[in-house]
Amino acid sequence: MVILKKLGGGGHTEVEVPHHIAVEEILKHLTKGGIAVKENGENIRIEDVRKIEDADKILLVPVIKGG
Amino acid sequence: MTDLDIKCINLQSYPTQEAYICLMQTDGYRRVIPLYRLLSPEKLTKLDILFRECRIKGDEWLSEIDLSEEEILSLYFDSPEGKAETLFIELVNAGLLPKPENGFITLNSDSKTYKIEIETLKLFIDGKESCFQCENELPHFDRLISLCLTILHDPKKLERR
Repeated sequence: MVILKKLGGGGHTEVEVPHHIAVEEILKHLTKGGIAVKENGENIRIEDVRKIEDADKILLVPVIKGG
Repeated sequence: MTDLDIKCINLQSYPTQEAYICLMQTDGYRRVIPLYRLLSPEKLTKLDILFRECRIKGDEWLSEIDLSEEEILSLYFDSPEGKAETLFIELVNAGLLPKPENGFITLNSDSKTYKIEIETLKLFIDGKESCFQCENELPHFDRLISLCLTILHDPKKLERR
């Protein structure tokens, strides 16, 4: 199981999901332009999403763009 | 004596009596507690009348709204704004974000220096004011965390489009 913590308006949502669901969710988030960061600060790139491990805690950071 | 300093601010789309905030000096920055989001309109209107008529001094406003400093902080940290600040503090303590100093966070990434004013979220890149956009309405500290992590991990996203 992987813990996903999503930053956002209604307080932070933290969900524990099976590995394959986490991979799907992170890929969806990265494709939209967001960032995913592990608890140790390591950035997760699209090509490395499948390498996440069970018990990883991942922060999903919303999209920020230059003005 | 309380560490909370109460202030009335002008906010678009809010009547004056609803826009009271508390300011509190904390570790390296000033915490802004949006009282107008935490208290009932009746309590805020009562405060507004007392302040307008100068019938209140020092920290008497706390007893007028029947709350202690600890209770205000507890209400704040239970709110989305406060939860976002808690995460920010956790990330700073874990060493993932730099410690705030004099109200600013300074990050070096991609041979540039990024400075963010915590209270206003003004961004300076190599000393020059720049701007950024968020996808949706995020609490203040969620915005700050997102900005810092974007600077650290994908600073190209902040280039002017």
